[in-house]
Amino acid sequence: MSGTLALASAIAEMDRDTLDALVRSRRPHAPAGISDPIGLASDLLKTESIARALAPLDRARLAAVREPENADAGLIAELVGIGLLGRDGGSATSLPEVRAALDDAVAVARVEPDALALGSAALGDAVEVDTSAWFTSALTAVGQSAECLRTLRDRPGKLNRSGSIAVATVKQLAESTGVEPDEVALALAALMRAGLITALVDDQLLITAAPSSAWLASTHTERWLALAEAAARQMPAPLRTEWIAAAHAETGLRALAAAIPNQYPLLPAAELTAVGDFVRGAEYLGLTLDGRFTAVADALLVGNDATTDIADAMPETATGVYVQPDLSVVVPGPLPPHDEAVLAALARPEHIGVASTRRISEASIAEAYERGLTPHSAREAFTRISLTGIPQPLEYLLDSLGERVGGIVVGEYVGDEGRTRLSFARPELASTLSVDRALQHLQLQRSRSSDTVLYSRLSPDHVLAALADARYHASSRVAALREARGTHVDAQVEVPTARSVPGVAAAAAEAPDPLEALVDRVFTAARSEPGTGDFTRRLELAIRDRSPVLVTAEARGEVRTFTLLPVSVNAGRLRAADQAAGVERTLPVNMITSVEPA
Amino acid sequence: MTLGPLIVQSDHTVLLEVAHPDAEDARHALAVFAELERAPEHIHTYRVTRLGLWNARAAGHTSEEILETLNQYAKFPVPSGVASEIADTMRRYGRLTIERAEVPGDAAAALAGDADDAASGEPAPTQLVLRSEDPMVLREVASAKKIAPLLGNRIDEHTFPVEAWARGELKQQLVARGWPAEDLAGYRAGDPYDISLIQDGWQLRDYQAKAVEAFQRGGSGVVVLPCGAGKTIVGAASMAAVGAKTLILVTNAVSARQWRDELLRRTSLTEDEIGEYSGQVKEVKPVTIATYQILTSRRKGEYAHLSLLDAEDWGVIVYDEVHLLPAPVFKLTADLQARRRLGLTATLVREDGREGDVFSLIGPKRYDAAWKDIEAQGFIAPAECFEVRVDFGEAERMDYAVAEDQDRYRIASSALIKQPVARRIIDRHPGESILVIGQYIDQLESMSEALGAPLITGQTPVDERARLFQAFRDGEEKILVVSKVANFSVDLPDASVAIQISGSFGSRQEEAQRLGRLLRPKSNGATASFYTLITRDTVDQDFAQNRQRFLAEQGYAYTILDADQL
Repeated sequence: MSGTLALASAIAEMDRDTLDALVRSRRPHAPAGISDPIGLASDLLKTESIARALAPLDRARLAAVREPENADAGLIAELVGIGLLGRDGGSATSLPEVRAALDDAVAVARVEPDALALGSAALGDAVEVDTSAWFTSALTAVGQSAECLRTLRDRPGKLNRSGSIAVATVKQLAESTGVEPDEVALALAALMRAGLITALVDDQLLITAAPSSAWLASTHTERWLALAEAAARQMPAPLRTEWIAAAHAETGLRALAAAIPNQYPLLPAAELTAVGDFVRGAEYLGLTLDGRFTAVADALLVGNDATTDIADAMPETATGVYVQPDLSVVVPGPLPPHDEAVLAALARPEHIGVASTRRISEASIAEAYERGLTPHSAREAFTRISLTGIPQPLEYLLDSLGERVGGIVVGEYVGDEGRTRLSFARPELASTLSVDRALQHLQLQRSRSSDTVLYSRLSPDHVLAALADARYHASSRVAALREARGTHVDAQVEVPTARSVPGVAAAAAEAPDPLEALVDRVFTAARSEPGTGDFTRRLELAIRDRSPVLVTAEARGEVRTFTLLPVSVNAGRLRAADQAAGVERTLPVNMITSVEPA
Repeated sequence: MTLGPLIVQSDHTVLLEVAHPDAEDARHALAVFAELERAPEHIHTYRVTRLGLWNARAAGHTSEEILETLNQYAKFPVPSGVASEIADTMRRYGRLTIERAEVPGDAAAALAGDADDAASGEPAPTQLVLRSEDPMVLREVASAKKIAPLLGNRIDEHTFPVEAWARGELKQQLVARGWPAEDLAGYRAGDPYDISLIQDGWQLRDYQAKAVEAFQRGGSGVVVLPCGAGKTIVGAASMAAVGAKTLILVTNAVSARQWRDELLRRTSLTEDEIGEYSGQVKEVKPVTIATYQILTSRRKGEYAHLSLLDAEDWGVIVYDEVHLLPAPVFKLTADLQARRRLGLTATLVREDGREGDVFSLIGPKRYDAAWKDIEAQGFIAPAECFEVRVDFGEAERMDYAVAEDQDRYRIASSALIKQPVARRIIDRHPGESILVIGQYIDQLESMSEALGAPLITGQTPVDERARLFQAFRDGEEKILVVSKVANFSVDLPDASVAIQISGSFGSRQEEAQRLGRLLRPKSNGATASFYTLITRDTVDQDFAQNRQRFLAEQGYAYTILDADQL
């Protein structure tokens, strides 16, 4: 027997909030075509919709779906609320479509239907874990994420056609940040959750999002909070349910996650993966330590303010860095954001943790000059943040590279000679480059009018990269550099503006909510007097399902109820078999006052 | 949270803040299990490696002690991953042991007369066994493809017999699988031979005595001391401590002669008791010094001089410059596990990454002293390093630009400008003994001519080399131009300036050795100067970066200059 009418009855009885919750949780496939409880019930009883609704249920709920008579009232109300049980004469009833789908699904999942009611094995006893050092993971994650963000800002990552992040991008980030590839993946996931990077699937690009500038400019504590809150918000529902049931931090997250497949036997693989990802992400961010939630994480997960606890746990900001003669830089703790940005511009990361190590090289300084730092501002920055002064080899590099800035300037060019113009301070340098074997692929052409100018048909970026590989110090921003010479470092290493994500916010604001309108229609229809149209639909459903119905009809003041198996509705007349009387009856639909499941 | 001098990082590096009041204590505690990677001025970097932890375990330290050390001195909590890996790694050492066990019943008769490396004086025939109290571990390693052929049929669930020839290879394979075996099978005593130190006008230094003691306690292993710190004396003292016939393996014939001279000067050994086994001479005496080259030379595909290893019942085999041990010697050493082995080196860094083989075949590190410590004690000279950048002339720059990649390093490092710059440096050090060191013979020849200084290369006959070195020692020659033959084991006591005009690409090992030429204490206490001439904006500069970084990491003062600043 079809459950449509039973579910439609349950829907018709729902208050608006319950109906709204149902619609939002089940998200009907074609909301625009639904106008009443029967329409909604029909949609919700489609196989895919039922499967989606059953998937996140735990064993107790699945058992209640099969046998509501054994379930408690709270559970019944919950299952009716999500459209997996119907109403028949005021009491909850299982829906044949749902039950059949459940039996199929548990068979596929190799779970004995009768075993659903047995529940799952108890979690092991809680093991004591000292979570006081959570901030080491937290600061490492923040530092690594910041480094990935800076790198992506300069060079967007690549996506696969499926929208996943390309392995090459993860490797590239790992190489340039000194972070292990698996941690790069975790950092990118954290940034993505927090909306700091965006996947442009059509363009197959991974770029920084507008809020990333503000995030980079905030303190380590604020940065962590942004990442952690985003993670907490996106804790997979089954895990959150289990965590609440397990009295929060009393049980380790890993134990909870390990119990999920058994406790939620129909959970799709993707959601199990999401559970695993959350566990790894939580450990990476320091929300858990050895799988155990910290007190701060507990507070975040229930939406409490943890700012004071976080501030108390975090180490103080480092007063400076150690710059050594081997050009290594040791950062003995978190730096203020501005100092961190300056250092990131001048030295490449080797290891990022609570303390970090970076390396200054000719290439890193040349790159910093290319970004707009000057020898003066670089020296000023080191003077300010170095606890150990500026070692002679660094002084030498700052000066010698500074003197050569502008020796070769690379710029875009529009003309027959090529796309890129290279101008030289000395004609000999132009001559050398034009014959350099390492630069042959640039196909450098001499200018007819000047012996200090060459052209290439390749792009300026390509030319700059090739020159750097061949150890020629070229610049594309020499004019800007000259203008900036002598200005304060702040002006030069300001966290660059992130690429904004066009249209996303605007699109979200403009879109009407189709579910809201659906709720309105169904709620209104349920409260209007049922008419012939409504009865006709019920009867047609019964015909389709070949299921008997209780039909009440009124003629000349007499009301009678029949148990009928409808055969057809045609020209305003119902033709049906009266199973009790063993006769065929024909009733005008306009005489019918009620059609209910038999 | 304590505010100690250490920062333990998740990549297993440990940063030590040198200026911290507890830095010295922390450094001593760290040296037990962590390798010093870099020691620049302010923050030293140590690395906690598996080999380091196993070395510590071999010396009797536990993971609890090590974690306690780290927790005691750490500024931030030790990352949990590091702590658990330390515990896990150390737990693995000693779970397997190589022992000697009596051969049960019938097998004893079969083995009689076949116990080639049985310890002398043992009454009953014995065999080598691999033992573990944990049958699962034993089963895991015994089923490994490369280990199974080295073992016989299982004796019981705790024991497998080991083929006598397989002792070394088994240790290598077990280290590779992460289950290092503790070798408790003992050593052959070797033929006893009386050797005494003659401490006449000199004394074994404290660190040298500690190194000898550590070697004796461990039985086999490696002593790491900087160049000029007296590794040869440690070798001599170890020989005296063992008191047995000794085979000494060295890198070349010149080094062999220096060993002989040093042994004659420091011990009771006479010329008749010391043999040289090299390309020129083939003597086998109670103390025999052989070169790696002769040992690994082949005739018709066979090692021609392998018999040397069994020519005497050696009680000790000394491996000089163990970081240079050629691969075939590892293979031969695998068969010598029943003999005591002493490795001597200035650095455990091997450019080929075979540190694990040194650990398993020569033995764990028994003693290590930082260069700067010994320098501070006045036993080696302080040194300053200068990188002098020179510019190509226009014609050379053009040659370089059009050259193939493989020719570029030679062209860059042979820049003509290096000749007058070397002259200017020499002029800065009047009266000092100066070595000019290079890689390319034609460059060295023209440098020798330009400076009017004698040239020593691999082609220079041994006697001529020895004469020139002596003249240099005696102050008759103030400048020597030398190829890489001078990199190793050449004792030039009075060299105080080295000018490196070209090198073996980025070799850190070479840099250490070349600097080592300067580190013998100077009679006037002067600081040694080590110059490297680099052609700017070329591959020469790239390679120099590696080598110079190594020097700065070792804590030497390091200055970059333009040639016109000289």
